[in-house]
Amino acid sequence: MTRCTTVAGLVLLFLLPSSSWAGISSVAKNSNLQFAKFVSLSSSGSVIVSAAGARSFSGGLVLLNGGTVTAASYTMTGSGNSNYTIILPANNTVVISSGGHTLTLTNFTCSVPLTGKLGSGKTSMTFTVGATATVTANATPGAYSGTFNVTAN
Amino acid sequence: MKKLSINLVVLSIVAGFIAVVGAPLQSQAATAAANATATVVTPIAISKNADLAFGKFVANTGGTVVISTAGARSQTGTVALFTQGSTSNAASFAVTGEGVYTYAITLPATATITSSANTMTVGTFVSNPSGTGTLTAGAQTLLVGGTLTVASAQAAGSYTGSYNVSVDYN
Repeated sequence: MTRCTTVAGLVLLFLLPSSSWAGISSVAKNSNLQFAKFVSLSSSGSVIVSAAGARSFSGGLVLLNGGTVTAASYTMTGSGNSNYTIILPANNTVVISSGGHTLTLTNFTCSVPLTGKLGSGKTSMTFTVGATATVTANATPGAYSGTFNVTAN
Repeated sequence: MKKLSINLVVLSIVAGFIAVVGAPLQSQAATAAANATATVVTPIAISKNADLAFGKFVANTGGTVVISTAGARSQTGTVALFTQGSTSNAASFAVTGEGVYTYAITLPATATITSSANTMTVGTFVSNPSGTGTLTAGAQTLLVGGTLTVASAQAAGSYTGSYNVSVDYN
């Protein structure tokens, strides 16, 4: 009796993880999100990098050339044609900083639907992520940086 | 003996639940961190330190007075440069902004200076640096010269006017 239940427990242990494996097993970052260079004027504004990597702005800013603009890029990997769900950061939860000064990131966008399937016979998918940097009036000059997480399951 | 076997059953069930709850979280959620970067650049600014001064001269039958970016004065035609009590120099501007950035310089095509109803035209503005400047260490001095066209028997007087010089990041 004792042996029987122990074996049953062990079988449970091994069966369940393997049966729930059909999903996303890893996400790897390919490139960072880069807003590049701009001047902040006397009114607030925002710099937008689309999921396609195009930069635009609104409000009191002047975009400068000479920097590299990129959307963040990731590759998620899983079992063939598995379902996936991508979770982007919520608004106002990511800040990038320079010294004691910060810019807040909002409106993260993704190049693919946030839920879907990898596709028939496919075990990976690459997607890109953009966001909007909110820039206060007369933002202090400097190189701002920070990190954010993207999760897939 | 019975008690032991019951305990083992409980253990097995607990192990099963850990497997059910723990496995999807560990194997099916994957997270990657990325950096987000932005560079806020110091606004570019320009302020005047010295005006462009052509000094004193006698018009005669006319010609031009030229001030180089170095502030050297010369003339063409029959204009006679007058040195006594005359001050001439190039205009000087302080350009400030982000270190080691380059900027474009826009000079006026012409400017008019007046004395009562009389006018003269300043043209052929030149600058040093010319066209593009570089904000080494975040600042640069911009010198501007020009050519004043003087008519024959230009009316005597003190002529003044203004013009704009613009700078913008490349």
